[in-house]
Amino acid sequence: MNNLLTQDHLKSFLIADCGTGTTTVILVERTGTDHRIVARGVAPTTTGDVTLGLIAAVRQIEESTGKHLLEDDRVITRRDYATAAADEFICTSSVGGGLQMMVAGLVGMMTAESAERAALGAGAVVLDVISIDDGRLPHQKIQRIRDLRPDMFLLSGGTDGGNISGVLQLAELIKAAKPHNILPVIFAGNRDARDQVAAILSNTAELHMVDNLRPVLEEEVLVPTGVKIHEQFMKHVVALAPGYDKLAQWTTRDILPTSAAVGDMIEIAAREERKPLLGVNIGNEMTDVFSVFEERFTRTVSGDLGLGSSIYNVLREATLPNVLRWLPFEISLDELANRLRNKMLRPSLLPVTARDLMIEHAMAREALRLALEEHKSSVVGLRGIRRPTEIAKIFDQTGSGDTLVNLMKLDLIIGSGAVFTSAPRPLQSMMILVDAFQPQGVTHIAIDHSYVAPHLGALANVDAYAAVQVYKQSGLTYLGTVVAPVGSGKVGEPCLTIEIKNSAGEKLSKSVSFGGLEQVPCDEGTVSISVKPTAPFDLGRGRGKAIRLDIPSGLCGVVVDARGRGLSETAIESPACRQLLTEWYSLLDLYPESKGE
Amino acid sequence: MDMISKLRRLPIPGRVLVKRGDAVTPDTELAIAEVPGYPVPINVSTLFEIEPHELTRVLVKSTGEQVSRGEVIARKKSFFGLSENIKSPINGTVDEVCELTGVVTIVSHPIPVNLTAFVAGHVVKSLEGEGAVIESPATLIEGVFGVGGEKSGTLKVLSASPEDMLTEADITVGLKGCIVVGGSSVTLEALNKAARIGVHGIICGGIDNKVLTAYLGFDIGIPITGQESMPLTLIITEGFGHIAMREKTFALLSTMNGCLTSISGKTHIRAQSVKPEIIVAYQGDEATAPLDTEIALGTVVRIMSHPHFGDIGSIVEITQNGLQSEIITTTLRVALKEGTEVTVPLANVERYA
Repeated sequence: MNNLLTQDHLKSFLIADCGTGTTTVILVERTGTDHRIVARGVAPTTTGDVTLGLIAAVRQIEESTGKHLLEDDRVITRRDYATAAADEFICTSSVGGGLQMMVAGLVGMMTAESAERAALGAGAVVLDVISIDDGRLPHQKIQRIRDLRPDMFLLSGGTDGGNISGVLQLAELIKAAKPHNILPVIFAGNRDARDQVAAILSNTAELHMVDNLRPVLEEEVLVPTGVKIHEQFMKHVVALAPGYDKLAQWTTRDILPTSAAVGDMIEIAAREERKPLLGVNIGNEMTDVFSVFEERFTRTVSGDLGLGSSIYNVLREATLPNVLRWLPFEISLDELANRLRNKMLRPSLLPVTARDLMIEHAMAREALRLALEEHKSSVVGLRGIRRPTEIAKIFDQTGSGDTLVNLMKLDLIIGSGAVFTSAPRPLQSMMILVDAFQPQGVTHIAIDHSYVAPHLGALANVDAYAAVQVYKQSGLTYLGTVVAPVGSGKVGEPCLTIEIKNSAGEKLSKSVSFGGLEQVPCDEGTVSISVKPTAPFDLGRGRGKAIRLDIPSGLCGVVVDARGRGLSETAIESPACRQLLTEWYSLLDLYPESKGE
Repeated sequence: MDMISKLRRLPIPGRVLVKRGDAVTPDTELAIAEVPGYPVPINVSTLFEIEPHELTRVLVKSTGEQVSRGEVIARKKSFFGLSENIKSPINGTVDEVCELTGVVTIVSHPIPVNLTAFVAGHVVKSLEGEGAVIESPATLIEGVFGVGGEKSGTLKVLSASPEDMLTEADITVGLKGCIVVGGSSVTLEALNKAARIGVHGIICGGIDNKVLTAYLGFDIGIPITGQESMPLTLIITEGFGHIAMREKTFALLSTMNGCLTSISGKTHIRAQSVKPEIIVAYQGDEATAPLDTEIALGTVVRIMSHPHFGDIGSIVEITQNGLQSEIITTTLRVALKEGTEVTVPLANVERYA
């Protein structure tokens, strides 16, 4: 991404995201030195020809602003029309469910893992990861390639100057699979193997060579691979989808995968907030999780966990007890399954009753929880390298391969997706994220309420300064702060005392027992909180140690979550636990009263 | 009646057997190919603890010879007249004997791939090495979900009305090879009996997820289907649960009772969706144009969400309102057939007539 490049001559940007279900367009304009979103248009994505839905969304902006954005049923810019309102037209897309890749590396936990990170960072859905040591026989790997028919293949393996025979074996597998269409293959492995890889694959694949993504074990170099993946994505995936040939002519920049653009926006947030953070984008078909820990940005895609066409799969992977623990009423597996199957067929269905809404939010909690589990296993220290073994460090080892996701150090969670933008009560969005991720200590919660994450990420690649400005004004809606002590005790015993002081100096003090869940509303603006846990509990400074912070109050204020950490292990099916859930929801006034169905 | 055009392609290059102008039926073989066998390397020298250059002394099969699974490919004599054997793990051909590495590679037999026409019609274009384009004067109906691959047979409408459920008693021996049409749903017993008898396909309005899972023997997570190894193909036209087939669809299928029908249960519910197909070789004048989707006062709609799933009524009011869930959206006041009025989101209805 550009380092705060300012494009002084650019004053207005029309930015579109063509999602799998909805196309969202925003118009960003500069007045003086300020960049703002001035208008927005939304329309269903038209998969037969994506430009139809796009034009419908842009027309809404034209009608609300009177600005000249369309001519002869096409989006125009000042590049072609002097009277056009937009200098640039930028687009992101989740076309065809995204860029679907397979990756291969020598060793599953080293080069193959790095290859997977490269593909995910470029916005791809990784269908499978093949390695020499993955336990499958050669013919099984070959059949897998044939069955999955990826859009693209990333082959890596061997540090420069190292192993050649292993990566040649992998190349032979791709050759033996003999995909019907010429498959784009990117080789990002041992440079000494290039000639032999070319000899094996030249008649089978469209082969591209890039710098080794793991030239030495201690280093990952993913950018050249990501650039090449994007280039091939444009050529082989976008160019073939209905309407995208037209769209590519209208845009003033290359079309980006939505996931990559959202990742760019999360990187903006991380740079501006300067905190360890988790971001999540939950969509119709998949859930992206982004994290910044120890200054390392990581993205994973859970390709089969979404709230539309993938929603039944969430039930299947989470299992019924884990869904039921979020529902204060009984529902049979059969009834739930049929409902979710129909949502799978018709993702645009809206929840009508309070129960429908609770079901949708329960599915969101489980989709996010599962996606985070997958993410944690990817956000690890580089494996295969040696670490210092001084005595002092032995007791503070984050061993190679251990997850870097630290829920106590986590400072900010950002949620993006229709489930958040459409939640009738902000506290619902906040509790979805808190229940799904179960942050520890003190954590701020925000959402991309306007759904501008992919747009800002795309804008950042053109005018990073403009993107940061818009982010600061409209990017995030702060919901509030969750205070979640770690430790255990008897339900009902004192857990912590919290004092909140607003800007006028007025104080509010509350004591919360273990097992409790309390919302403490705050005045607008910044407030000071002082939290003192009792001896068994830790908020990040050690057991019983107090913390004092100034925090933005957010829409929901502070939520003290003293339910304990380890909710994931509690499968709730009993009437007693359902009653407890009813009490929690009632305490927070989380949902409207459910009227009988 | 439409002119349906079908592009039929082999998954790998092969040999096309038809030419432009040829008449075809669903079972006509258009093209054939062979999927290459997969290699299985066997490190004989390591297993026998001999040097690689000694490999040929122990082999009983040579390059190019065919072998069966379990057949001895190498033998090493040991003490007291005993011998150790290495057997082939697969049926195939000895592809390579390498005295540098001591590895014998056996390649499995090629797998034949046959491409049929799937529909009745004529070849309008032959694609060398790939397949052909078939045009078929037929009626196309799309379902919403299906399982199972391509099948063809005579269409038999068994249910008297679109609300009827297809039960075991409806399935008789005479339906072997047919594509049967039910009403609202099908029971597990009916599915199992139909599979045993040799029915080629079942089309109905809906199915319970538990019945589908019990019949398949597994739970489909992500809806990408069509590859299931099933004796019959199942297509639902409306949704999951008990939901009457749309009256217009049922009436059209009833009109085409007895016609040659090709079905495919292949479903991809993702961005570039693929829907299951029912292609009937019928040349009548009944309208098959897509339903007008415009919604206005008086439009008859079907509700596709709970708590009124499947109910049909006419729109009496269109407003912007909050639902019980507190979501604010465009809502419809719908007068149901039995007289009650309900409020539903616009997003949750489909035009019915």
